[in-house]
Amino acid sequence: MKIVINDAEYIFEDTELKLVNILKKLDVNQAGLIAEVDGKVFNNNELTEAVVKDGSKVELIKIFGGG
Amino acid sequence: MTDFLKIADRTFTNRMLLGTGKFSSTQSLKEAIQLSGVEVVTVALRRVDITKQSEGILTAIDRTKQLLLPNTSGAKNAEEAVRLASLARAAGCGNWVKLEVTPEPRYLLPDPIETLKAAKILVAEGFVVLPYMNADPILAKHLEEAGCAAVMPLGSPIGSNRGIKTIDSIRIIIEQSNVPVVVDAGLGAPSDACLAMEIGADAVLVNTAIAVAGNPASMAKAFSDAVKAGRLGFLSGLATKTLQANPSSPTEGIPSVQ
Repeated sequence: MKIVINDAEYIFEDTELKLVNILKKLDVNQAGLIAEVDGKVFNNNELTEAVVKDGSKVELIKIFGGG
Repeated sequence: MTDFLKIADRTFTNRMLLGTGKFSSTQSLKEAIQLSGVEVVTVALRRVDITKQSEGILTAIDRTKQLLLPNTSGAKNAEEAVRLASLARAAGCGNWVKLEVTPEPRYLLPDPIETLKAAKILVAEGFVVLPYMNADPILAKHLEEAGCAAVMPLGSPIGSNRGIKTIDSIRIIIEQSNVPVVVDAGLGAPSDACLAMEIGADAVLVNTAIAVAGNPASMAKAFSDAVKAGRLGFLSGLATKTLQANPSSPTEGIPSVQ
């Protein structure tokens, strides 16, 4: 399947994956992370519920310094 | 003297809000927070660069002592601002939001129409809204009537360090406002923050001038002290300015030359 994470394309052999498994494969630190998958927001406690399929669009977002 | 800053249902003793952008390290930010004693810190939401491991700024913030105030920076219209506020809430930032809608990047001036539109939506969704705004007294009243918990007029463009160029309009906003007035943006030196407080602002928000200082922690302290001095000056009743001199020594009994 082909998915888009933060505007970059990623290809996986699976047809469906839990988002947390993708994050592990990509070595993404999940602390403080929230995700938006196909328009649905998952807070940090809900990340394990997020499922990604072919064509999914994923936004990975965190808190940064700002004024 | 008991002198609290009250915004919505929260009270604060420190009248400086600190922006957390542009600090060279998390440690530098942590020291600035500790030395200034700020109780409100602003943060932003951004996409994660998944090719990099970053420490994250939350390690610098003690959330039992500092309230997180996420901003909607990067939003170019009301819709984007509402989305960012919702994401901030999902990220565990609570329901306070510094509303920023800045459609053009050169001066980063806030869009008054989209800001008011977003404010109404966010208030209806239960957010405590503190809007970054042009120093426009009429707009300030509209935002207050929309249910904003404070108004945040700009002194000069974000990160410009030019000080308070909008002082006459900010004076009017202060005179007319029923919600706290937090002077935001452009405060480049402690004296700028002091001036804001002397004219009766309830608080100031500072970021760039502290973050890029040679010693951010001591600059944060300098700003915090200036805010306290300015506030005390305001509460003490400033003397009236006059064009002509008024002698401070007695005009009678001057010894004559023999």
